[in-house]
Amino acid sequence: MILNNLENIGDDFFSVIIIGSGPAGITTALKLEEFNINTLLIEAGNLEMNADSEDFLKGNIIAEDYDDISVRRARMFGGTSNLWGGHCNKFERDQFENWPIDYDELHSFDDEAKKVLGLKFYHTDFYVKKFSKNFNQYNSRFADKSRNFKDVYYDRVKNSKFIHLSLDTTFLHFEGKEKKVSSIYCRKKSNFYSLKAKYYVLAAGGIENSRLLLWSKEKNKKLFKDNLPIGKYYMDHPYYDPAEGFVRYNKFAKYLNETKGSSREFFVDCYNRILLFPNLNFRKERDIDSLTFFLNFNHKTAANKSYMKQIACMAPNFVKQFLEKEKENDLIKFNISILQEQEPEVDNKITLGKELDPFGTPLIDLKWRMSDKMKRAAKENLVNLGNFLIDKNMGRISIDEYIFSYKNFKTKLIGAHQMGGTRAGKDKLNSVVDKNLKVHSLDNVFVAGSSVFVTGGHGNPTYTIVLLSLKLANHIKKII
Amino acid sequence: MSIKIKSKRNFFKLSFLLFFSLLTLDFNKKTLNNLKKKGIRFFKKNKKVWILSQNDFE
Repeated sequence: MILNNLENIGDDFFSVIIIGSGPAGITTALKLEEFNINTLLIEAGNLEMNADSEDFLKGNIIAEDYDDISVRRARMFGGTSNLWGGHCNKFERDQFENWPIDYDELHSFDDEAKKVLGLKFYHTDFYVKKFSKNFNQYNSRFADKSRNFKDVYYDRVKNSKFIHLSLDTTFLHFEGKEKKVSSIYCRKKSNFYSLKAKYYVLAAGGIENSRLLLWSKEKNKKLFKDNLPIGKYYMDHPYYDPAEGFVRYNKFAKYLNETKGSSREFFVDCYNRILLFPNLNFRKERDIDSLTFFLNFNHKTAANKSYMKQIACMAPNFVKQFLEKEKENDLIKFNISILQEQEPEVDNKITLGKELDPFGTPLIDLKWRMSDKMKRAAKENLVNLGNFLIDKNMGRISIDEYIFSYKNFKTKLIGAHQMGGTRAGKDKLNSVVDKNLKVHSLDNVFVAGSSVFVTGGHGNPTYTIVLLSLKLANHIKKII
Repeated sequence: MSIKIKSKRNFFKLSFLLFFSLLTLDFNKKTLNNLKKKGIRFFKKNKKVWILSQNDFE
């Protein structure tokens, strides 16, 4: 149901208050509803973005190359799902080894997560198959109906007996002392409220979770006993187009069919892309983290004579090998995009800046950089893919110079996958929440969303955010 | 006489060494050629680095 005012609410009325109505907040609320648990879901925005939203979402970026963070976040019901393309990917088991959360336990919520996201599968599960000695092929799944949580879940929340939604309600900070939060201090329009519950779930977004915890700590030093690394180990997925090339299309398709062992042509997603990632052996051998290669065959552009002749002038045998032996329209151009895993680094961090938002909470300073290890990973993977195409005589690629010089990396999209900052772990020195997503220093505050990610993986985070939220709601049910 | 014998021995030794050196040299050349044939060449053009095979140039 919708709460238009927050007056005269009894202290024991809500069992859980959830701060933020993005995919993490809504999923947690829906699961708690199944257990008949009374929940208050507060959202700082309304059903649409306001013109002044940017004043709450902007920040000071200290980075060589990073997008404006105010356009990569949404202060409204449904949160960032309103900006989301619907890609769903699953973490590989080996990418989960540093997490304190058991992989199998988390993925026991797979069926529920698929239901929440409305995933329609061509296969029964996420598709991962060997592509070559060093690469595996996988496929994104698309949340057909739930690209936008607002459209899918607003009516259900509005009609729920147990979920109480309060829009235009901005969380300001936690109140309480000695590890126990007694209430949240918030503002609805021009009124201020202290709202109480047994448990609190901070689900305000990848960056916002760190900002609000840092500010709560600043406002109330008696509450936090430990010096937790809030805001640190921030990660993102830089996305860029560093290479292009061409393949003998029929030969390539035949190879993919052989490795896949299927009668379909070759496995591309709905955007005509082939998705590859380096396998564990290759990553260990080269000491690199993961990434996704998107081989984009969007337009199936033939590598025509003029294109091939450009290359032929530097490699004379080229024309003979490819152009004369093959039919012209069998040589297909493609480009390669990379979505790259970022290693968690303590210096990539969110801190409170000097500038304030309209309600007096400090905006953030975000310090971010791509390490040389990441740049080396891009180079090693691309060169390896180029070698593979030569070995199989299936095609050739060209790589932008900056991949070799490590200078002036040109990202196409950066800032969309905000992860880390309140990462999960066993040790208070390098983590903020425990395996149940409870803040180490606080008895009754949990964090939901990608800010608890320990590693970023090579895929889109939303599927894992939903899994974690389902697990969290299940845990709250057990302890309530 | 003894000097002659020594010279002969030296001659055989030297011939032997020379013969094997040539063999090794030839072997090295062949190996290099093979590696070259299988080899990868990076070719820079218009701010792009092409990953090409040695065969593309011959």
